[in-house]
Amino acid sequence: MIKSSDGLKEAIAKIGKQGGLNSRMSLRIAEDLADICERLATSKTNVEKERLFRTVMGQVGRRLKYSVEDTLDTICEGSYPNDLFFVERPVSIERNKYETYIRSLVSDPFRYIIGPVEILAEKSKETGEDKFFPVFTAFHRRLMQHAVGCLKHVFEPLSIGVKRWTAENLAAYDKLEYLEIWRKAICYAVIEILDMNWLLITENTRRKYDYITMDEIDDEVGKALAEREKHSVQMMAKALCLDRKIRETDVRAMRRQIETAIAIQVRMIDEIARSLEIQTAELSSLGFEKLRKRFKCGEEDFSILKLRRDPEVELPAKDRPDLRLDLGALKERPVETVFTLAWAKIVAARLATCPMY
Amino acid sequence: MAELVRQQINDFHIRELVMEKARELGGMITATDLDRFIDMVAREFADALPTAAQAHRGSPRRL
Repeated sequence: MIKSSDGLKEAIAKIGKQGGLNSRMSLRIAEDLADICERLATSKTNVEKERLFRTVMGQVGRRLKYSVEDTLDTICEGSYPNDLFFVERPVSIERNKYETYIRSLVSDPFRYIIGPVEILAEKSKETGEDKFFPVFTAFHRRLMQHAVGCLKHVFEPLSIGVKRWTAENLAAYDKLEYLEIWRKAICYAVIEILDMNWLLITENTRRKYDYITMDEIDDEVGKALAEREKHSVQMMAKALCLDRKIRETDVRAMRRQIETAIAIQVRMIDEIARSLEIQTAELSSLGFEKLRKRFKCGEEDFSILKLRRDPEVELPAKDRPDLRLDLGALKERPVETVFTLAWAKIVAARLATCPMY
Repeated sequence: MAELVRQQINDFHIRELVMEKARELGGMITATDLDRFIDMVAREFADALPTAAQAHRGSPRRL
């Protein structure tokens, strides 16, 4: 038995470690619990103690924070957890209302991503409460895995899989706030994909071109192949999230894929924005209008695209969403940003498995 | 998982350590408060551990 004053913290941390948590997370939980213990011991009245218990158990986002941190650690270790939602009904909300609420939250963005998600309800063995589980089928998981595989080199730091919702943190948002986060997440996600593609494409070509057309890209790809400079072609393929070896006969197909990919992305953001009733002003504030101009995409014509580098509509660096892919920085980001990145993965998954490919 | 955590709480003498810490601080924890605190510890880990275990396993867990 540990006797020192810090012994409680150490002992609690050991529980986490033995259960498979990493050291940092175990220690974080142990510190929190030891602090609670201290506050409990020094509370003078029962009212104070009661308040402490209520406050602690209702602490918003604490477990979500643990979960996100643990997931990040897992990513650093090279494995990818699967996407799971854990939705527990707050006792104060009737089952029917809650189920409707959860369905609206879950199915709305998914309608455009992987279709409606079945929701099961089961009784918790521990509490007897109903829990609602959006069920990710084998198809969904395969889709995610495929996307992660395809996009690993581009989106690796986005592969945040576990979102864990408890009654506490779910109740922390009202529906509008919650949807607002999702709407923004989707906007940022699509913009991130658009922006990243653009930047990577231009990074490989801007040294040679100030003005780019598809034909010129095609020519350049042909030259690169002829010169056996496959590296630049592979980089371009990576920029377009196409993780496959490019053969000479694939060149024209790749050109079509470039056009199709951009068209789909632009169309998707329009559809998503429309379905979520995102206002033009809001999109504009996120830089989408500038992006659309940059890609020369009209609202109606997506089939004929001209990819041009136009300095007049180049998005200034200061206006770009600050979503640099840095795990270290990500850990310091607010939860909303983590959601953003998680959604980016889901949107990317949709792109990667689009039937048009 | 909750049962495992409770077993570990006993193995690591968390109850005794909580009482000891309270004495060190010159405070007091009643049996009821202690029970609630232990519940809190158990719940905290019971929530966290399956997530971590699943992530490390790398395979989907049907909830």
